[in-house]
Amino acid sequence: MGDSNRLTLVASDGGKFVVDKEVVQMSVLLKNMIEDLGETDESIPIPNVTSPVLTKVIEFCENHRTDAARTDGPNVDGDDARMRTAVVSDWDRQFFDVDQDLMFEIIVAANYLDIKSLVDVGCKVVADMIKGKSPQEIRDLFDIVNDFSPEEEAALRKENEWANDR
Amino acid sequence: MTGPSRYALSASFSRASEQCQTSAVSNMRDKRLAGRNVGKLTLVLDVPMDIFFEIASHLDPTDILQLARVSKDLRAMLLSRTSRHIWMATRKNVSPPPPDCPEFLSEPRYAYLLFERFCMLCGAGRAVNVHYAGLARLCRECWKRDVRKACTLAKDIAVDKDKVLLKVVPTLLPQATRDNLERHAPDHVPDVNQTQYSFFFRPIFIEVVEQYRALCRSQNWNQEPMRKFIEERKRWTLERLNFRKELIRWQVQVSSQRADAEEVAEEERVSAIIEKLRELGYEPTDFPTADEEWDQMMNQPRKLTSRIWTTIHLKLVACLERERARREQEAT
Repeated sequence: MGDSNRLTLVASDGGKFVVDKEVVQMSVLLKNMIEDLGETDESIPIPNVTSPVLTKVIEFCENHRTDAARTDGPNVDGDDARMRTAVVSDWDRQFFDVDQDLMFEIIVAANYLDIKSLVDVGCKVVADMIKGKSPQEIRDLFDIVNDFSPEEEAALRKENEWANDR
Repeated sequence: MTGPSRYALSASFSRASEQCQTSAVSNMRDKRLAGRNVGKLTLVLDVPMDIFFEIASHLDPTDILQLARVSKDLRAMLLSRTSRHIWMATRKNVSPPPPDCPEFLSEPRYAYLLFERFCMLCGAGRAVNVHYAGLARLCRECWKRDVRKACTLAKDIAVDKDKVLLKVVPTLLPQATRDNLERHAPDHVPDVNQTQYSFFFRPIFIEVVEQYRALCRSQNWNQEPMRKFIEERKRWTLERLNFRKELIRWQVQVSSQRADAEEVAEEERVSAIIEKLRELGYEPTDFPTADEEWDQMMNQPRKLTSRIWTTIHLKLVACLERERARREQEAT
């Protein structure tokens, strides 16, 4: 302790993580919290995030610390559009090559911690799995039942089934 | 996960795997048939709504159209007003992006018009005949049956003896053009001087005829309501024709962008092939100049993969040898 460049984060299960301040600040939530606290040795509890998830989140932030300046703070519109169309890098894809429980926990945690680049990459990885699929393939993917009758399904192809009101 | 999942979609979904539990055998068979993706994203319905929206906004409009056919709940959610921004976001993912959704259309309906491939009347697939001003996408059969000259349509509903009607009604709706065949951006609003010999889309034509006749029956000529009706319909027609113009302009951008991309892909393929043939000891100067088979293999807008190379390289070498033999014969 005593190193003003490092902070301790405490996960919901009590797991402790000592992390560079610069890395922690990629989370807008934590950045604001640190600013409010001022210089302090106290550790920061993160009640909504478990150790395995926090480990992954920190791994992502460590890897992306150099582009922190870009993703830091609220995004302007143009930047948002650029991020939307950018392709997911190999590292990021590898990072999300985990089971779906962990994948969605990371996304939810990133959303809570307000780490825009991580939410963005995670959502893109999920979206890529849905892209180009037929309704039946999507049902398989989501594990849900087709509750349309064959007649209803035929009607769905036609124009009058599409809401015309705004 | 202790996040605010109370907003998640999942509560109302019946899981396919739960329904099959009674028969382990049929369950296994179903899973094998469906492939390795089964259940890979079940949790997507458990995430908070704002994250689901974020995921959806990275998709393409065609994906949202597919999602809206997955189940009743998903459909109701996507077609509701609260999901409007999903449709808007996905439209912006299209390159080049289509014009903004006009006032008179809902976002889902607009996506349907631009990106769906089903016939709006019969549901047949690959319906490529688009009449933007009439918001219609039709298969060949439905187009042939329901896009006709005003005089024919009038005859079908026995109003063709009314000469005034035949003169007035064709100016009160946009004429039907096969906009998918349009190759050039129109630089002016299309001709509104439509006559009984112009083509129209039957349902719209009938609707206008009925409104017109109702007004004729209810009052004498030259009265205010009729004048107002005609004025209103003409304004509406012009609005739709302008909408069509915007979309054709976009369509032209799409095809020119596609042509550019194909040109680049073709150039890349040619240089990749040249490289490979060099390794085999052939130079571009050895290439045949008038060989159809050769040209077909070279000039394609598809990347040269190792699989394609395997299938074509012997044929290419055969063409080169044929060319060499021809040149040798010419020299002697």
